[in-house]
Amino acid sequence: MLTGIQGFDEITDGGLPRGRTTLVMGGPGCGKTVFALQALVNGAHGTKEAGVFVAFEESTRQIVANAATFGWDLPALEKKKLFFLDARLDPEVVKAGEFDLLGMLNVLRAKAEEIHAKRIVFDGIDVLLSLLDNPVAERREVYRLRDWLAQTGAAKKRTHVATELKRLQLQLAQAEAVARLQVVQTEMDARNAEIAVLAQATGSAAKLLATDKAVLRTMRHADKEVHVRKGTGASGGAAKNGDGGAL
Amino acid sequence: MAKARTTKTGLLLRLYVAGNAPNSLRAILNARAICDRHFASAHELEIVDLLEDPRRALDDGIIVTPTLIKLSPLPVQRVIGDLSDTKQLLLTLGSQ
Repeated sequence: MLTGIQGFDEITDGGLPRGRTTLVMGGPGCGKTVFALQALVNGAHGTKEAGVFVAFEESTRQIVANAATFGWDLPALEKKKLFFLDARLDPEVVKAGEFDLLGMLNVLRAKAEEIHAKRIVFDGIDVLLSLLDNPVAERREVYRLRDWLAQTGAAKKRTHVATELKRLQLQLAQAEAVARLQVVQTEMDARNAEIAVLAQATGSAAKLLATDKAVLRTMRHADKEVHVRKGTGASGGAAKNGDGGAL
Repeated sequence: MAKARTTKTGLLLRLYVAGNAPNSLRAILNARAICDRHFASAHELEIVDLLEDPRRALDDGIIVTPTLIKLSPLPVQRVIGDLSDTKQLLLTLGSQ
C-alpha cells in the first residue's frame, strides 16, 4: 500500500504491506506520528481511501493543529475520509480493578465499518497499555490487539500502522513489518529524520530490505528536509542494533 | 415522574460492558452487589453492552471496558475496571 511518501515507498518497494500491521518505532520527536498521519492523509487525498486515526497520546485537536503546519487541511478531510478517535483516558478516571481494550476495539470496529476505512493508525498505544499496570494483563491485551489487527486486516484488506515509544511493550514479534525512524544531526543542524526500514517479515522469515547507507531521496516536509535513507549496514548489523531480534 | 425524583437524590450509574467478557461480567456482579448493599434505597444502574450499541459508547467516549459512569450525584465521574476494588469504588461513589 503506497503511503504517498515518495522516498519511503521507493525504498520499501511499494510502501506498507496491505492488510497487515506495521510498527513504526523511534525515539521521541523523530516523526512517528507525522509519518503515520501523512500515510493517512495521502490515502484520503490520493487514492481516496478512508482512514481512522486513534490517538492515545495527543488530543485530536493538537493533531489537527500540528497537521495544519504541514499544510494538511484535516477538518476538510474529516468530513468524509478521516476520523479521529480520541482514545486518551481522562486523568481523573478512577481505576477499580482490571479492565481491557474491548471497548476501544469495538467502538473502532463500528466506526471503521461505517466509513469503510482502509487505513488505521494507532498512535502511542503503549500509553494505554501502561495503564493496565500489570504485566499479565498487558500481555493479554497485546495478544488481543494483535489478533484483532490480524483478523480485521485480512478480512477487510485494511492496513494498520502502530507507533510506539517503548518497544518492549508492543514487541516486534506482534507486527508484520517494522519501520524505524531515527533523528540524525547533520552539519546544517537541521532536524533530519533518517528512516531506516529495518525489516519486513514474511511468514517466519525476515527479509531485510535495507542494505546500504545511500541516501535515496530527499522529501520535503513543509520547511523541513527529511532524508530517507536505506538502512544501516548489512543484515547482521541492523539486527545487532537491537530491534531486529524479535523478528 | 416518581423515578426522576428518585434519581435526583439517589445514585445514577451507567455501566458499559463488552458482551460476556470476564471483566465485564465481574463488573456487572460487583456493581449490583454494591448498589444493593450500600445504596439500596435509591439507585439506578443502567447496563449498556457496547457490542450492541457501539455508537453510544463512541459518543460517551468509552475507551476501555468495563467503564462505570456516575451521572448523579454530581460531579460526573468515571471508574474503569471490574469494580473488584470495593474500597476505591465506594470512595468515588460517595457512600457513608
